[in-house]
Amino acid sequence: MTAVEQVGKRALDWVDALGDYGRFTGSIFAWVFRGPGRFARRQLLSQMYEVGTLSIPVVMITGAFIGAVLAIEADPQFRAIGLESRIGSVINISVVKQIGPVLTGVMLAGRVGGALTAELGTMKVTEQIDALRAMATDPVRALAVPRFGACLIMMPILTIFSDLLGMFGGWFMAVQMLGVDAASYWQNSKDSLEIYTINTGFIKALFFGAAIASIGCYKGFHCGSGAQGVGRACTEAFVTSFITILVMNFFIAMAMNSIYTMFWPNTGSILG
Amino acid sequence: MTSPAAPQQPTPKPPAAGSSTPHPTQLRLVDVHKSFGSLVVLNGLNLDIRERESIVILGPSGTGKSVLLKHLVGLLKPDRGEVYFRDTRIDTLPERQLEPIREHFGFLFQMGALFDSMSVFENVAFPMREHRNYPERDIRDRVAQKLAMVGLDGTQGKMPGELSGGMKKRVALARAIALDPDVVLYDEPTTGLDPIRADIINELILKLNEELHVTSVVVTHDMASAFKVGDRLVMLSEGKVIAEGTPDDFRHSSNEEVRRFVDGKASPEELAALERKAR
Repeated sequence: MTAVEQVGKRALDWVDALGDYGRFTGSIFAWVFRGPGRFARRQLLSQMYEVGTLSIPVVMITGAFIGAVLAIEADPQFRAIGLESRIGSVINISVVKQIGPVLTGVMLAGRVGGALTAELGTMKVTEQIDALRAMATDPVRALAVPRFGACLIMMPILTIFSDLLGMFGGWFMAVQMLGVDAASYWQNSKDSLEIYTINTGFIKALFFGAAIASIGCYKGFHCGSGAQGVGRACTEAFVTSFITILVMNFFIAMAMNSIYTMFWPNTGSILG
Repeated sequence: MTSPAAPQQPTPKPPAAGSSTPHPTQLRLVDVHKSFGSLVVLNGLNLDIRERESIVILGPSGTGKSVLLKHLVGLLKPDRGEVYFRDTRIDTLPERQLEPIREHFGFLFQMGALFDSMSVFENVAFPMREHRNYPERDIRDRVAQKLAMVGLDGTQGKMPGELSGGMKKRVALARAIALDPDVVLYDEPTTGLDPIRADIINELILKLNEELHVTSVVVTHDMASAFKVGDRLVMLSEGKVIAEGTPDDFRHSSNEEVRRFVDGKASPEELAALERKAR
């Protein structure tokens, strides 16, 4: 096979896999609207606990430290031009619009996406997924739908935790450690944070949650045989989710900015 | 017994609707071909399985026995050929239309395939909760009944990880018969078990045939098991049926390949190849 043929084959394989992933995600949505049944509904709560509750500490810790680091890095720059009182608006906008949802997404992709893939991949190699099909049960309905629902519901909730702790970390460092005036810090934060900004973060979180769950489940359902196949699928799931989150973040930011300027043309762009 | 060297019988026609023979054909594979990449697994396989018979599919590892079994319940689709359940051609049906047909089957997987996040009770109750509207008390009674049939009543609260290999297979068997299927498919039911535990599984297969009047399709290379549970034995080689007959036919077969398989002896060519590799 020539180099050109190899490139062509890889491109075709990639398009094929993308189409397969699209069909897989479509079937998840179809089951969500059709009603996934008792078993999937019962699984939803336990999955929400696995995906959400158990992720809260890690999301809170990372959020708090990122907020604090933002304050440390921004403080000298703002102080140099005498605008240290406005540091709160920069920290809080960054946290709510960008860092909160992206960081939560990345943490969830690592902690939950990999685990989803490993669990479903192991079920595949031990024939548990075939057993479901043999028992006349669609494995997408029984396994993927509750995990997808849990990620979709819990991702915005985790983002709230990340945002709050990011704000706290920023406040603690800026006000308590670096001596920024608390009243002006909060006043500027309040003035700059619009409902639209907060919603932008939540919309991103929803998309990221959907991407993490669908990619994690897809990779698990399509993993290769044996422990090596499961391990490789986990790595692929994390890398693909991570890249997807960053790419989605860019496009959602563009879309949200366009929508903002379309409805509020005189207030200027709020790219994010 | 068909001559092992002879070509397969001509392709039979699908069963006529409303056939009134005492034991009509329940499952039929017609000229089935299946490959995975360049590996040809089934190569024009024809097989009829009658209602309530206990048929054993024999053959060396890698001859497509498990692949055949998965075709019967639509878990795999043939590249070419036809698969029938009663009068319905199932290999062309989409997944959703296959589901009502699969409710007629129970499938015992090689390693049991129990859901390891669920207890024994939840595993056996799973198909009932999915496909029947039994009240919870009924489900409890039925699960206990199925577990009693495999000699494991009282293990409802255990997790699969707490069970031995033989117990896992018995729980998986209880789950396979949870919906009172018409056909039970066994994929290597005695593999990995000691002779005593293997015999327990064989006895269970016989007991279920007698009590539930099911059709049993057993894939195995365990000859003791095959002779014990099979009304009819079928041997595959290179993706085709090369011999079929009663257990007695196989015991007294003059065909060399069948004899070697029954006696568990490698061919001189295989031994010579092994020596060449060792050098």
